[in-house]
Amino acid sequence: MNEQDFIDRLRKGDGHAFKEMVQTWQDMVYNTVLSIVQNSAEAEDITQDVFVRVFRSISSFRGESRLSTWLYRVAVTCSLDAERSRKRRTRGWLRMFTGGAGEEEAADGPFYHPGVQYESKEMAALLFRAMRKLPDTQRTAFVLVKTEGLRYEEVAAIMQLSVKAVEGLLHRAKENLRKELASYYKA
Amino acid sequence: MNQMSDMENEQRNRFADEVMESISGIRRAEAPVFLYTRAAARLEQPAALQGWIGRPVFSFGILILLVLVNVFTFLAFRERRTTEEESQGIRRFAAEYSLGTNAAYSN
Repeated sequence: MNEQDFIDRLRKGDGHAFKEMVQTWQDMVYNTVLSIVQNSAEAEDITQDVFVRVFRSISSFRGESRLSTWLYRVAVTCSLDAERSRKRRTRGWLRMFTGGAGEEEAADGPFYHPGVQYESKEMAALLFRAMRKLPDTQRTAFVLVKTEGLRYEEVAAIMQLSVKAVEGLLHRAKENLRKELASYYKA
Repeated sequence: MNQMSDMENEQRNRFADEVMESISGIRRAEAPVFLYTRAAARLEQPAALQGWIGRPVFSFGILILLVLVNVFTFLAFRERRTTEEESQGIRRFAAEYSLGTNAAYSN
């Protein structure tokens, strides 16, 4: 199917086009969001939100990139926003009213990505724990390359950066992760 | 001593590398089965409702507003009662010492 025709259908508010969009890209968006927020219930909620937002704001999509690139961008932005507001809720005095204590516990617990091989499960949980400490841009680049398997050029298009900048982010992310993981080592 | 620390550093680095490799060959997580149905239901809701109602800030704002209305009502009621009590006291005092308006102009 021609992407431009598909975008036109979305612009017209075609419900079937919405269904097609969700069914085509739901795993891609869900996996990206899950790898960032590391909580399946929250990831599902954000994934729904991403599709609704994209459908409602499709008129502002200029078509300068592919629709999947835009979906990735919205998914990353929504995930990082959710992370920030969760941190605010769990740290701030509002936690008394919002029940943030439970969320904090969930965020501190181990996260087991369903796509990791069984024998690497525990090690991967350590890696995801260390990833929480990375700055947003480094974490985004790392997630897109490592869990989504994207090429640097694709990541650069999503993050609206140069390929060189993405390489730098990944290099720093790996260095920071190595340092953090070394501190988890028990002799 | 130095040799021990070098060895431990090496073990730490090896451990870190091993953990870093643990997600090589990771598969994409699959979205929950009813994701489309739920997303479609969400699409039916008006955007403005989704944006505000349900947010903790909104419920907290409502709570603060209710508390303020209660405090204001309490203060206003207390002020009215104090004024009434004061005027009752003055009337009683005036009646007791015949300082009423009628007393001054009687006869």
